[in-house]
Amino acid sequence: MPSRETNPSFMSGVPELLLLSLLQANEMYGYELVQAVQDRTGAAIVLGEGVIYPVLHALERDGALTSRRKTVNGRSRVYYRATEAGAQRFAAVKADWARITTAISTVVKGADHGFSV
Amino acid sequence: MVFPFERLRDRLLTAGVSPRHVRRYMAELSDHISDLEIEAETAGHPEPRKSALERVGRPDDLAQAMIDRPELKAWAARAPWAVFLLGPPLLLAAIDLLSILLVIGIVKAFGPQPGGVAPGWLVSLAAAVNFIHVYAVPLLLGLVVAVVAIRQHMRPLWPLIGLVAIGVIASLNYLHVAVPLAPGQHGEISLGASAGRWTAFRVAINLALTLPLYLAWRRWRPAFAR
Repeated sequence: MPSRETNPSFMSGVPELLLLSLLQANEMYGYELVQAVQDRTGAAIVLGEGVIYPVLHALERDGALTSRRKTVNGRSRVYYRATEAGAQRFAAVKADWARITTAISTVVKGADHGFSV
Repeated sequence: MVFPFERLRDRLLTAGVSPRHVRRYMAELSDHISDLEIEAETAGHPEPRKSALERVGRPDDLAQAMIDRPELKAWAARAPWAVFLLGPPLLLAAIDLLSILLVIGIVKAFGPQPGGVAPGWLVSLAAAVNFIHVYAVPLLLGLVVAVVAIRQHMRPLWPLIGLVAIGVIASLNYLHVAVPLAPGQHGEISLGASAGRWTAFRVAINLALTLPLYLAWRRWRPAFAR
């Protein structure tokens, strides 16, 4: 039986999904992550520049990310990378997201074809 | 234009965000603003600093994003009763246990044979352990409470409750090391809790050692920070 739970974190989970996605393969720091999201979404999604850090801290606290301070070109920054638990979390969040977007597409396409909801 | 780091830090700490996360957040925001400023300069923006500060976000929004995450709160904010009421007795019990193990270890390794007289250094060691336990341990526990409270910019209620609890618990707690001073005597380590005619005096001593330290630190810390 399908769950009747509501999904209050539907949109608030977007930064988590994007950050986990970007950090699967690469080690990145905050500014770099904001730029990457902007570039790869064609500026359709612009994350709050400063407010991504609480998301990163929370993910690290949950064990989904690790961080380390690294100096590159004379600048010392905190770099983040996804852990094994982060990969599992990403897979779960991605599956949730796919389920939700499929559901929404179905409704929207239905509306296009004259179905009532 | 200046970013109000100090005000943001104070707001986050007062709201209970863990000092570790606050420290890193400040460093990351500072780096981020620098990166944005360089980007704006490169793009030929007439006021790169202003542009960077606008893009990084309003201080209120930056603070709220952190405060809205309960998992980033410090234990002192989440469960002050546990930190300030349960923490000191547990720490005291750990100090008692370590003291006993240390004394037993030293006596076993370097002490006199059974029935022998304790050498001078062992008499001094026993006296030192007894003195430290009566006077230095309450001070140490008070210092731990003060450091936690000051780092977290806490209101004084829970730290004061913690310091009074330390004053009372450390007065009731009893650890005494006695060494043999004559042939045939035996050494003894006593541990327990007792209340007697000296208890009120010891409570007063403990409070006199810890309370002024905390209150003075709390009063003058902002001045030192400037």
